[in-house]
Amino acid sequence: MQVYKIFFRILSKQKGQIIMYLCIFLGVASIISSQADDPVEGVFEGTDYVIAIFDEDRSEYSKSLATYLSTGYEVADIQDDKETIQDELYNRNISCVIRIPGGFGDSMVKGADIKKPELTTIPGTIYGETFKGMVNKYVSLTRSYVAGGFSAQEALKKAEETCGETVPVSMPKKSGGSTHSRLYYYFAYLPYIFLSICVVGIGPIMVVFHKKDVKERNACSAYSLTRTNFQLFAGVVTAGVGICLLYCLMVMTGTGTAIFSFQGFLHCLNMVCFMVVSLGFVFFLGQVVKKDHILSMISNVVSLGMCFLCGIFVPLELLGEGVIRAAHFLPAYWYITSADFIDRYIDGGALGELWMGLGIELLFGAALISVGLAYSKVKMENSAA
Amino acid sequence: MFGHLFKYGFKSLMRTKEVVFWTWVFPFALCTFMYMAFSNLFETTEQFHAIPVAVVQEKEDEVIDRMFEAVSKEGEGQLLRVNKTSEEEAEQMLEDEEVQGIIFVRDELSLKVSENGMEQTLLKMVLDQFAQYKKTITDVAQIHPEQVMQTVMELSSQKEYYEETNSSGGNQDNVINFFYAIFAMTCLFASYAGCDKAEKIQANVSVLGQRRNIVPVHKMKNIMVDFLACELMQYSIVCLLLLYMKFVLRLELGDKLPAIFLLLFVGTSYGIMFGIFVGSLPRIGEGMKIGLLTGINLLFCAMSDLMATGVKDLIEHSVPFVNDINPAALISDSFYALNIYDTYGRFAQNMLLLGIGAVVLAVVSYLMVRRSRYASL
Repeated sequence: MQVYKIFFRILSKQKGQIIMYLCIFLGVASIISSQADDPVEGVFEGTDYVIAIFDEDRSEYSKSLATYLSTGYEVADIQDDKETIQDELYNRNISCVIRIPGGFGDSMVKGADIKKPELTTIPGTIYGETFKGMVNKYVSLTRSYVAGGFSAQEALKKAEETCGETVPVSMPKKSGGSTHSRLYYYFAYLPYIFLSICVVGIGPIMVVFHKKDVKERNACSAYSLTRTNFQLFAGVVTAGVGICLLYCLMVMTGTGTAIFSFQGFLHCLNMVCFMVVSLGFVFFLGQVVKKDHILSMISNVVSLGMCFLCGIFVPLELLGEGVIRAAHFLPAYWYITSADFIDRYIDGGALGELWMGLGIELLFGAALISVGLAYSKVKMENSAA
Repeated sequence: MFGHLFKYGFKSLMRTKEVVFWTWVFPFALCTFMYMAFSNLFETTEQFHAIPVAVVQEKEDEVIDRMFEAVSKEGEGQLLRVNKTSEEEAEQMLEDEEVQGIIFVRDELSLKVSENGMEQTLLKMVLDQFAQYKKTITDVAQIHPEQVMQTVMELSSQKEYYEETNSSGGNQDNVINFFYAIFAMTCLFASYAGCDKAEKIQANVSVLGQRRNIVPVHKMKNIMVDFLACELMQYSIVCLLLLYMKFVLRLELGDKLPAIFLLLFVGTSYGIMFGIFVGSLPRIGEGMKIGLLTGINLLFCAMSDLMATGVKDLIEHSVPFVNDINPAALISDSFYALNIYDTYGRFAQNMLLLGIGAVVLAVVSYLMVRRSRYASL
């Protein structure tokens, strides 16, 4: 088992980088999964906006408007200067700044031209529309009561009371938002981690064994090519299984026993299929690339590109149609759609869609290995000639 | 002599594959991927589009009908896209995500949604408004029935009682932060070229350094020539990246191009000087220096929003001093200031901090490599 032993001796030199990748990405997964909303099932919750209000009028009307706008939203205390407002809006720390001008209350009483509150928000946004609607509604209600013969004081009181009138909202159970389970977040970033780990860990071994000198030395040794290749293959499989087990262990530290559920089992199955893709990718790179640093360059571009375009770093529903169509030709797309399916899966449902996704992943793995083998054969024939 | 040194310094840089990849290929590849992934983000997450809803009307209500008509009228102020349909079909549409909610018009209005979100919040606000307008008319009709018409006219006047102002004329889609951070990364990745050059002027680090040390050329001249060779290459790259983002990807990076070119010059100068500084550190191996550069550069870039937006702002609110010494944050913040602000105050402050940093690094590097004597090599 000399080749097998050497495989792990070279691999052990990369263990620092492997552990670093695992820790960084599991750290990222834990942060993201812990920040994910945990909505109450079947109960509608409006979006929590943060706003800033500058009341330059300080009349009863302006105070009443400010109280209405701040009901259900957090009011931030920010400095009233242009750059601070620009910074806070740009960074989405606040969604809207409402400035109630001096004379607003008077203009409401007199019924003359209203001194309009000033709304500063990011143009064209949903929350901009929400706050425009709220200001408009409140002023409109108050003025309608005045037009309806109520005194200014009564109109204000009535408007406040009427604003409490809301329609009932129902939301079916099992919904509650577009968030995912904690388990999902731990598996979502797996393609980038596996591709990086496999290239960093197993890639250099492939490069070493495909070096011209080493290859020729091995060829004239008493060790048969079949034995060498078999032990190399065994090493790759062992390393793949080891990385999968290590990953499961780290997922367990973050999610507890969730991995032992049926969904956890399906996620693990998906993980194994993507490991085949990663190993196939490394095998292919090992045939084509001759230097370690080139390996890292190619792997960085391929893995980052795949993860950006296939919905690993950015959810699929936020990607453009053209990008999604192109992503169908990449294995990470089938991984993430399978992970999404597993996350949505309700016990007893049909699994056909999942099997298809996993099957395509395996086919990608097989295709990469076949191309690698074909390239290696052509190279051997060329060097023999 | 200067021209000779410059020519060969530049040629040797172009032949260093790692430098060429990380400074040429990687930023272009990364910004293309990010562009493909993020170009839709603002439109799908924040931008307002009329909300598609299904309406199940089980009771005729003229007031509600008029309100639906008003809010779904095509044009700039359209809030809803109304589909009047049966309950079964509406449920199916909600499940297929063709509509954001179902409005039931019965004795009382009610809403059904499938998830929490900004569109659902706006939808609820619109429906609340329907209910509140109805209550207003009822209240007036009970106490001042003769004034109902005035109330209805006021409610249906569709006047706008707000003044909308824009905080800036620049690009306020904060996804652009990722692209500012790519510029910061490219400027800082110039440090690899600087480090490579610094190693090639030290006799105890490289064979080339040994040869160069026996030539009677002043160390400062060596550093300056290497710096200029690196600057020519890195500045060309980052300018090409700017043109690529602005004219091929059509990203809104602002129109203050002369200031942006100045920013990129100062940014790459800082990056190269940082590389020369790390390359000049004594008693550290080449691998360790590259590792150090990669680690520090990535940390700086992560702190300036390369991996996730909002990190720079978080630091600004908790430890603002860190942003003042982080070159990536200064570069990214300068882009922001040029794009959003009308004034140049913050940009000038950032340029000054970057410039001072670059000069300090240059002086310290020179002090570290000058007048070295070797007992044995």
